[in-house]
Amino acid sequence: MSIEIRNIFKQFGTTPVLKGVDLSIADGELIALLGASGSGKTTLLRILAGLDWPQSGEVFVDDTDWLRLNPQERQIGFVFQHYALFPHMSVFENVAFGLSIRPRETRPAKADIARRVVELLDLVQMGAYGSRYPAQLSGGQRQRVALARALAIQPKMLLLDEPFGALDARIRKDLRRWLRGLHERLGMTTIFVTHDQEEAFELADRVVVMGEGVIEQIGTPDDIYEQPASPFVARFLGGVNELPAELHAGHVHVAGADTSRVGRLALGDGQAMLFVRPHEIDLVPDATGTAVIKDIVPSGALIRYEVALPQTDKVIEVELAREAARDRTLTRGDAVRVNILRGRVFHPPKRQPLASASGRAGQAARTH
Amino acid sequence: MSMAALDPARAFPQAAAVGANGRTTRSGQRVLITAGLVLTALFLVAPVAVIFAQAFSRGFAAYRASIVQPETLHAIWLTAVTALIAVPINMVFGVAAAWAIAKFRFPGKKTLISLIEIPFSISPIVAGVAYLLVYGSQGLFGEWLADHDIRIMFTPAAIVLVMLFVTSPFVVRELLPLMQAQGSEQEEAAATLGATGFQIFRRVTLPNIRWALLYGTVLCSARAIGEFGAVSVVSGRIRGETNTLPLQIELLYNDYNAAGAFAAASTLTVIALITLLIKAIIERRIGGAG
Ligand SMILES: Nc1ncnc2c1ncn2[C@@H]1O[C@H](COP(=O)(O)OP(=O)(O)O)[C@@H](O)[C@H]1O
Ligand SMILES: [Mg+2]
Repeated sequence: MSIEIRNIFKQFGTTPVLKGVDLSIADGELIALLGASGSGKTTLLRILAGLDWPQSGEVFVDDTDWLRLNPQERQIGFVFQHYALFPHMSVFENVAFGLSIRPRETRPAKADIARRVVELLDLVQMGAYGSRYPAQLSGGQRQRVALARALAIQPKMLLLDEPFGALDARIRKDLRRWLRGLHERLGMTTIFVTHDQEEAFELADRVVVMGEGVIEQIGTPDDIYEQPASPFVARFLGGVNELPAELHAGHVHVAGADTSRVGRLALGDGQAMLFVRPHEIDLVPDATGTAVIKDIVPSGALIRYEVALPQTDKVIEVELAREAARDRTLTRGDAVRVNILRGRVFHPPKRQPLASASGRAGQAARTH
Repeated sequence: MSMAALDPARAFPQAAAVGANGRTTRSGQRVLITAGLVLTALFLVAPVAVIFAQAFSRGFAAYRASIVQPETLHAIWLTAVTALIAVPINMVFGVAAAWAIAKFRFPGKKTLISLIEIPFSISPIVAGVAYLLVYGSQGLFGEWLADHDIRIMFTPAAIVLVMLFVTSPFVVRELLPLMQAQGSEQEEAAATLGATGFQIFRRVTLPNIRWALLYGTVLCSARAIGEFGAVSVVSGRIRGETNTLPLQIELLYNDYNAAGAFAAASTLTVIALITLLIKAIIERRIGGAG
């Protein structure tokens, strides 16, 4: 099912939670809603499910006016963050629920329901657990039962709220790969909510980055990683050095660093910020260099350096692959030259009159 | 005795309980437990024992004769019937009110919550008088009711009405905290799976609250059967007609028919003991089910 979300506004009491959300999703896509806690991800999902209604805006699913339908009519699979399994029903009964409550005319025969439930439990690798009760299952198992229950009604759209949120790291990784495989097999339009960018990037065809009730950026994982649309997105992706820079004749200059490898930009002169990731910087041992290594933290395949830039005394983070680090033999206190290889320039946020200050801070340009 | 008075742990068992010395703590506990047992025996066990001792003081045949006396039998029957009407109505009311308060947001919700508690804070006899003033022949609707040939006061209908009033908070009070704690996610999940409102209630909500509902109903029934004050005002206390069991007991007692009074009282006591037993069983189920 293709989904068309237009200009959704939602507030609880006087608190705006979604402030004009637009989003188009193609049939069969796997979409991640990525955002910090409280950014309105769950609310958007609940609106799609018919569990909440927006104050204004439209949702069309395959040209059906979605907001006119109640949740029962939407035939979606919704997996709640805390699973919401029925505690008084066995795993089997939980999964059978959606089929067994159908009106007599459309309800499959008992044997057919049983066959379908067994299929689904096998699909989520819970075949041996049909007679257990939710209280007797681990978090990951409950998660999969909740998914099987949602799939039982053959939904055209699957909505998952933080599907791996409450699980520990190893199970998360396994389930993630497994869900990707499941999506490829079943092919239904799927939206899942997460606050974990690794999860979003690894799983999704496209990632929707949400700020406070607005969509900050929509794109493929590569797009978003390579070309964050705003300082907000760049910061949200984490671990970024924000360096005050000077634009002059298409070149960007950072005090105390060599930016000659950063390409020309089609931007006017003036002040700007250069956002640089730790691995986009090289360190060259140089006795005449003005930057100084403050600290070295080896972490697995990467070696992390804290480097103080001259003049500004700004400390930046640099990551070198272990191999590269070995060649350079740097120790604490060494003088180095800082080579910035790549970065993204954002104009500093202009001072704006009051309310609109929270919008996009400035236009971005990728450099090479 | 003097030792006990001198030992601070005995004089102040609470202080002993937090004290580091295990021996004094234990003796402090012993004093508390003994005191508790003595009080229970004096104020709970003894009266109940006396009821049965008195009831059977002239042998079983006399006891049976007291119970099957027509007026007492009628009182038992009337009590059962009125309670059987009032309790189910309050179950429905309690579930509906708790459902509405826990699962929906609407204006006046806080007011509704406090209104539900009112019967607990009003003396039953005041409630009885209030009903008299509203539905009695001299009351607010008295003339209209008389015109339409409807009599409420001094009939079993009046008894049902005051029972409803007095016992209305029990079920809600048991259900509301539970339903609020459970939230609505299971119901929402059921809705997305296609369940209608009634199916959601019947297959998801009700099973989740069944023990609390039973518990509230047991308390509600016990109170309805035992209610004296309000019923005594609105029933008119007509012998063999509008006397419920508690009223009948008082009547027999005032007639100096001690054996009859205690026999009737013993039936009420048995009901209370059965209630207690059911309550204990449910409490264990709720505790075990988590
Ligand atoms: N039922 C509600 N009533 C009031 N405020 C709510 C309700 N649901 C969500 N909110 C508020 O809306 C904001 C967004 O919530 P949510 O959509 O759950 O965010 P997310 O899932 O991204 O963490 C939060 O500030 C939250 O407190
Ligand atoms: Mg959420």
